[in-house]
Amino acid sequence: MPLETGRPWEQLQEMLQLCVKCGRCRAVCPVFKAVGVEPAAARGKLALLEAWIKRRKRLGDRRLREVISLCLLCGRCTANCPNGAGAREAVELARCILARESGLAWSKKLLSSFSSTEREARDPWIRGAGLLQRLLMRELPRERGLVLRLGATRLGDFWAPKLKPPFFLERHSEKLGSAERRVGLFVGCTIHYLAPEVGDAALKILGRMGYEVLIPKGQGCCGLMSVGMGDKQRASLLARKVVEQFDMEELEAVLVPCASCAYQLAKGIPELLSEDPLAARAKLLAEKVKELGVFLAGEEGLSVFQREEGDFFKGSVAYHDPCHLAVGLGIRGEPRKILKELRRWSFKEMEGADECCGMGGSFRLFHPEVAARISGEKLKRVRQAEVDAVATSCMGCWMGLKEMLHRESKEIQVRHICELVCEELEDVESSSLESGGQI
Amino acid sequence: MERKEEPLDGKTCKQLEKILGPKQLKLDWETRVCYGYDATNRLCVPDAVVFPENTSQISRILELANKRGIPVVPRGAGSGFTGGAVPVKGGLVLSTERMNRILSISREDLVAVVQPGVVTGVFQKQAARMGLFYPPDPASQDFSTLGGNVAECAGGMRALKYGVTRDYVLGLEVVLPAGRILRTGGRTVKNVVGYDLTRLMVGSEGTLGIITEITLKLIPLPEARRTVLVFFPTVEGASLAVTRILSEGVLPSAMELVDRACLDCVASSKPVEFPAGTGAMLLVEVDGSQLSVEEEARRVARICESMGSLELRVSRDEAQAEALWSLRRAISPALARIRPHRLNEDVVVPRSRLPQAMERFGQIGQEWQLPVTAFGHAGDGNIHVNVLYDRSDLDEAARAEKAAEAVMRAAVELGGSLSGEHGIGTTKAKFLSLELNPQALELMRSLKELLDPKGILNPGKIFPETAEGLGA
Repeated sequence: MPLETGRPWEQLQEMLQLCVKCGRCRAVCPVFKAVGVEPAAARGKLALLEAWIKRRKRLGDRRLREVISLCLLCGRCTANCPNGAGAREAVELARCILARESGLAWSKKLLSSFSSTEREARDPWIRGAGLLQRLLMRELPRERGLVLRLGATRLGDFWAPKLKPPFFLERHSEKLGSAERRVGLFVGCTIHYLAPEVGDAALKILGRMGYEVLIPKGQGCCGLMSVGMGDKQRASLLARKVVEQFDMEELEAVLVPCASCAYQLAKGIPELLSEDPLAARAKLLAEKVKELGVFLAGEEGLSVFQREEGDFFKGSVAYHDPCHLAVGLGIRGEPRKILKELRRWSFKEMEGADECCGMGGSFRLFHPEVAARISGEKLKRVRQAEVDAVATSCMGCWMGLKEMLHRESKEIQVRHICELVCEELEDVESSSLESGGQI
Repeated sequence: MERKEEPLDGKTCKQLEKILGPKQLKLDWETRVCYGYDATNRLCVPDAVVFPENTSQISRILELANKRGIPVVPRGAGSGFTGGAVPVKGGLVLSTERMNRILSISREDLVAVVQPGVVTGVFQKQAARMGLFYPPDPASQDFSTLGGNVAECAGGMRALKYGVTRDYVLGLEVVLPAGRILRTGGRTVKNVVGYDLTRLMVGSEGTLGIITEITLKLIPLPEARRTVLVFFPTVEGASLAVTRILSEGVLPSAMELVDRACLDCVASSKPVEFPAGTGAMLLVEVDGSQLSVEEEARRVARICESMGSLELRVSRDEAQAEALWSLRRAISPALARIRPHRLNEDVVVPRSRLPQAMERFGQIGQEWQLPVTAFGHAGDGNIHVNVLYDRSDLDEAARAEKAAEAVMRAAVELGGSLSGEHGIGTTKAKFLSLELNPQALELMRSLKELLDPKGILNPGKIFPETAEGLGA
């Protein structure tokens, strides 16, 4: 296959030029910290791509793909680069070029394509998978031969999230409440399939605050996963779908309870669609997108948390910064503000709160050992924090944290900030009902 | 497919693998590329990369390499600015990344023993947790290694008060080219037994031996620090303030000078407020006990005011100090937006010549029609002169080389030095004779020959390749 010389190539070369190899990314890259060798750091990847292009080598060599795939796309390199080189963006672009030159690996193709089929067509299949999962993981005792035969023994020490039908979008109608102030809700895949309770909590909070919530049924995947796999075409397809779902004219904001999806809607989609007929709408959407926690932190409605005498205390909670929120969108203060306002939980800052959990979209699937090393470090931080719960606002991190804590320490809860806020609201409501008081 | 076969013969590879095991020897092109550059951004692909885990492996590698005449280039984090870790003659790159353990920190002796691959910042944090302080603070401290810092004798902002890396190295374990293991110094501050081989090794840029263990001096962690940010109408005024502060008996832990050109760069990308008519900014940090820092900060402020400063800000707490320092840290990223590339010359001049030097550097920029900015460790006369250019513009790149040379000549003419803390490596080798007298250069060459007769250790560094050297 000839070496392509089109625009993406030139673009990549320009990006590579900006790296002066100072090495600062070595201090911040979670993968480098776990692996400890240069190709894992952003600088190594960029140098390799540069050398590769210079030698006019055919992209697609297995080892090069391996190196380029060894990145969480957390963006710390870009955020900390003194020369303004976008290493994260370069890796993304390189993955796209690699995928186009020699195709995606079948596993990535499957994952990526699955996320772009129409939700209605996809959901019955996933429901079926849910049945199978229940059969395997719950109804079948571990000792049964079937588990072994299905190759599921490796699941023994692996926490797999349970599919929870009816899925979130099936549970609710397109419009909830009716009020002057109207917001849209984008939930993403994890909440839809695996954690509808987080979405439910978000709805309750918004209802309590007097918002009308629109939940377009056709909303699919944000496309971040496809971007990570280098499937830009599919990511653009998904982006268009997302943009089309929200009529921005009538919405005050589009709220997203998952930090990664929020990042993709705010930053990724407008870039993907920058030359699309939908570009203007994508930009408008990006302007109105708010990660739910950020939205809540700016709301006065949160002052309902007035602890009454005799309230029960649930314990201490730490916060885990999702990369896409802290690094990607620069948001660190708001989630903490919310947690500090909770009356039944005491907030405790965790050392290394902004260190990656190792999930990185599909990173964990393709690099389980490296991911395990990164999550192992995170686990140490959580343990040292000596808290009863860890809260976060990204569904990827939510899964990552659940998995690591399930294996090691079942006493520590993993909660989405929304859930904590919602519980508190409900507690306040029920206690004020009992006492007949007003909230 | 075109692919450079590893030029190490099969027998050598097998022997290396026997010493190291398959995981610590990398021959694939991808790994070799990633270990072929440093912060000079020059790439020379080595023939193999080795990741030894202990001294004995290094000793056996060197013994083998010496026998076969294979170059060996030690490498920490590859963050040097003069090409020290670039394998310009091929051969083996020996990475110390796997030797990254802090072996011991003793509060009683105020001494730490570390392996060379320990990242400086990691070590500093660990020491600070015990109330101890390792002062050398090169800008790369968050990722550069102690081994690399020792080999290059790294400096930093605190050099004025606390000295540089060499002032904290008490002892070393070094593997010499034939594989023999040398021990120098010890665990005491005082030690005058024989020649000071420790100091010979510090700053030897990996050309005399490979450092495998470092004994470092620590001091108690100062209780507090205060930062004073001052704007002056002229660079000269700021430079004079530097000498005045010192002559009045205050020894700040850092004094950083930033010229107007740098400030404008920073201001172009982020909101920075500075008074109209600013010609230079001076950042002064004092540290010590709570009481003394208050008093010293006041004295610094008074001196600066008496010397016609335009505006003065004093930090009250860590957060404010960080905010003041963030201005200094924003310079590097800001310069990159003017031109993508830069030649960063870390020349040093006697403090009293600072005003002249700053003026001269400005002229050089005009002469070669390139943006030349100067900022840096004014307190010790170590100025980072950045010649900004775009590599893809060949004419500009050529002019940048000339301008950088002019900067170095100017520094030497003013009684200073080519390099305060980056070392010579490959980038400054041809200027060596500008500064060293022939006898010194000759003695250095014979020392190198004595210790490394076959020239396998980091060849092509420090010494000018015969014809290339410039006449003094």
